[in-house]
Amino acid sequence: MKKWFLLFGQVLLLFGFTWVGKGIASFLPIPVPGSLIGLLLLFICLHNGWVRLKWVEAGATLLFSQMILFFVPSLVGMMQYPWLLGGKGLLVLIVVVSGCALVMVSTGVVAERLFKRGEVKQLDPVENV
Amino acid sequence: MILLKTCSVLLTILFFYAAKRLNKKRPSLLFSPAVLAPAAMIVFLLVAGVPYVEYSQATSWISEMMGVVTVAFAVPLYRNWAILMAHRRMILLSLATGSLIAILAGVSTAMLVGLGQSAAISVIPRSITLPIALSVSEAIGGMPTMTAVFGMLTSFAGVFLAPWVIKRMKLRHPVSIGLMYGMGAHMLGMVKAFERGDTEGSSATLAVIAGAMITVVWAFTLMPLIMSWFAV
Repeated sequence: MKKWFLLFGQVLLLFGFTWVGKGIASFLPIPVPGSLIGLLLLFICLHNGWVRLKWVEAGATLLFSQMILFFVPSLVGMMQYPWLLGGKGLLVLIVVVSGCALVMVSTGVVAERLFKRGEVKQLDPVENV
Repeated sequence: MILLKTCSVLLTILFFYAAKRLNKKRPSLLFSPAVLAPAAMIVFLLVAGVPYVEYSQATSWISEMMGVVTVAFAVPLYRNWAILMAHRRMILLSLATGSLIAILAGVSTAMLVGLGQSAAISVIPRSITLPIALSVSEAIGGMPTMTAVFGMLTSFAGVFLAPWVIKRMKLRHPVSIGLMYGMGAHMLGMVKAFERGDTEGSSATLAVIAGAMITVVWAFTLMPLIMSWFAV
């Protein structure tokens, strides 16, 4: 029972950061999502030790494990686009799959190349000795 | 009205947990709760004759929770900060390339196959994790629901494509494999990356968070360019 109270409190704390982030976002001239500002605020608080990791860790883990539930209403929105099941849906699939493949290949290859170069650089001083 | 509201919320939660249990028995992408639960809900709404607008109003607080999940990403970000800083050049450059290509490829192919302007805008944030993607989509004038569909499909496509990309591109370093998973397939990719190992998993987590931030920066800087492109 105590454990549930603790988890509830942690989720509530995360809620608080979300609200503050949204509040700040409403004052900004550019449309930045408030939740991103909340993320940054919480990160700054954790980094400076104002908020301890154990105050939010369990709550965050709980939210992550149930995350798909929160998408369900947005995904049900698919019913507004019945054409997704037709020929146009196939076009969407082409857009998604081709784009995704490009993204994965480019990210992976750039990371791998940069890593190999870094390795060589690290070896250099040893060879000079 | 109140009955409809409680019914929509209860059924959404019920379908989700039923799908989750089924997925434990049959672990396959098609049986994922991200597919089964919305599908069951759509069938129910169509049969009961409830329009989507009413359903989405009734369940708005469930969607609202996505903002809280976004904030919770600060926790893994904080935990993995040391790894991020140690590989910051590699991570920043690869994610910047990946997210730029995600936006350009998404917009150009969507326009090329003639999906229309609003679909093209909605496709911009699809390579980032859904809770953030939806608010970005709203901020840049897209349709969040479209973005949710694009994002979910991307996640599935990414998980399917990943083994092929790793083999073909000869990716060996766990951090680059993790980054690829996180950038290409966000949430589902993160889960898959953790199955490969801890380093892969945490770099995928970083890719999900940092990739989202970088995409937001790209999206806002490129928006004027994309809009002028639409005008032509």
